Amino acid sequence: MTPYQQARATGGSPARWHAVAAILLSLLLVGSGSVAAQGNAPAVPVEPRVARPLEAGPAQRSVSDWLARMHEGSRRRAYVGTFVVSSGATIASSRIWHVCDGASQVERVESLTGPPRSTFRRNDRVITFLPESRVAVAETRESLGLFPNLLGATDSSIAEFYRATVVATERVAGFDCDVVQLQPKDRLRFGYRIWSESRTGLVIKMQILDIDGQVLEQAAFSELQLDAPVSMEKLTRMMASTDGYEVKRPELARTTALAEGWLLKGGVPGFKPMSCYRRAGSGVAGGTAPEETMQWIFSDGLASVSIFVEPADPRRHGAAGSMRIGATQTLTRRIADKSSDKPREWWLTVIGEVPGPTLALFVQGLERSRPAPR
Amino acid sequence: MTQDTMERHEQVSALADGQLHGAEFVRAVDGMVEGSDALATWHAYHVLADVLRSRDLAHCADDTAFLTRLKQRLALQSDGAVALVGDADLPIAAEQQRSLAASFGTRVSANDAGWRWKILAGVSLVLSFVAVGWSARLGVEGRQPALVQADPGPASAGVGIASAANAAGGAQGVMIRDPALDALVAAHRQFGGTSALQMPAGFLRNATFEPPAR
Repeated sequence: MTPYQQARATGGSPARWHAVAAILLSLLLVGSGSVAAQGNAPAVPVEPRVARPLEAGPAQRSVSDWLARMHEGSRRRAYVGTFVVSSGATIASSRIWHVCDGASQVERVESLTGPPRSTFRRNDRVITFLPESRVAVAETRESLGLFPNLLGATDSSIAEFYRATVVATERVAGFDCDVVQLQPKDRLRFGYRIWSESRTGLVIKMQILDIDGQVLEQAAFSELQLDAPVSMEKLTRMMASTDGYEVKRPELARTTALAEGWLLKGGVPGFKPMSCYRRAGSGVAGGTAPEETMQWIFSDGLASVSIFVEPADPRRHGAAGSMRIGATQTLTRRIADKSSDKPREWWLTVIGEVPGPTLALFVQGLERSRPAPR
Repeated sequence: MTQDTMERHEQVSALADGQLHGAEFVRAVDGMVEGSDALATWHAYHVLADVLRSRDLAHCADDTAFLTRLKQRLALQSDGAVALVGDADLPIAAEQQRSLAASFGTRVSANDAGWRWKILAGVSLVLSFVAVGWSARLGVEGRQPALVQADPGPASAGVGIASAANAAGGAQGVMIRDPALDALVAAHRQFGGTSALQMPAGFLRNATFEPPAR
């Protein structure tokens, strides 16, 4: 039992409560990171109601209120559970350990489906152990640290393109949940139905719905132990023990679409460019492509789309096409580049959790902004 | 019982117990083939052993009668005279036939020599040839129109847009067979999971679901 719960259970006086609340609030204002780093507060699960002054009832919460609440729900909790993802005809599950000390979050995801795979995350640093090949893939996922900025920067666009409504209260994995529907206001994006634990805001279940309301994909905790005793030290130690593993770091170079010679004419409503990388060719799986691929990432705050551009290779790139895997849609196309004296072809792959026509808009808008450098 | 008979019986017993090897084994088998009483002893020892193990095994049939029938059938087949033998021709006593029919109903096992099964096997074979030939033909002729459908939306340069999802009857969960596309989907999920839902659920979804190949 945490000091917070202990105090509540033993019936602390109101004055004492006000003091505790004030201390918690001030800790947050000062920056909980530095406090936790000093080891004074190893696991203080701050209730979202204290962390955020907003306290609208479920019916009054806006899209951003809900997203902030869901984010806080996962950030300031320790839990252990079994997570099940169902996408199309495929079902995968994993065992989850999550712990937070107020500053850092550590998470362990042990896959229970397919080849053994352990993924560890400490904030935005992720390492995936593949025991069969004795390979560990270490990477930094900037998107994981983006949330507050993402909400701030695209706040208006999320509210502009999605509407949040509480449609029901239901029990999932033993917890009472508010069922929140994030309904798109146009036909360019999918909808989301989220089961948010009534007390903490933690996301227990999530569905991605197509424009007709059909479930494309869903993920849920089938079993969850909230405020479970999870040792951050142990998880950190496991994450660091790469002995016997070949540690690989994906080769990624930050760039801009403009520097790569591309622009998106007209844009796609609601979608803003978030980041752009240059990575090893799409032969990453086969390792055959010497040329690099550009990955240009867009988001409307909830859905994201990646545009991959690489030089067309007739040996590897066959017919253009589209494909759907659960909520993930793909669209591939060969585009001719007549901007330089020597005509060349590019292979374009657009992938995102959006309807097919939205991907087509991205394809339509993509243009070469300058002659190919190579 | 003579000393010689006693020895023969002991030999059969040892043979039944699997204790004889080499020259002794050969001699015992030769003795069994030559003397009909040795065969009867062999059968009796087996019945004794079966009964000792379980009363349910006490029921026994006459092995010699079975062997006789088998020899007759083999002779018939080797002459190539009758390939299709009706049920009524089987040299099984009428009573046995009735009891068999009572226990199995009207079913006849699929490996029975009955002509019905042979005809059925022949028809199945022909059907399977037709089916394979038909699907191969469809595969050659039908692939292009089924997989590559011109998309009137984005295509400005007359590029065909294949729709594997449509080809699969619009079903969800179409398997990715192209490893390069597979790798890009993985890259999208890893680096492109830019969503306000990434932290609460997106990361778990991707870590649970993402293919290990990178």
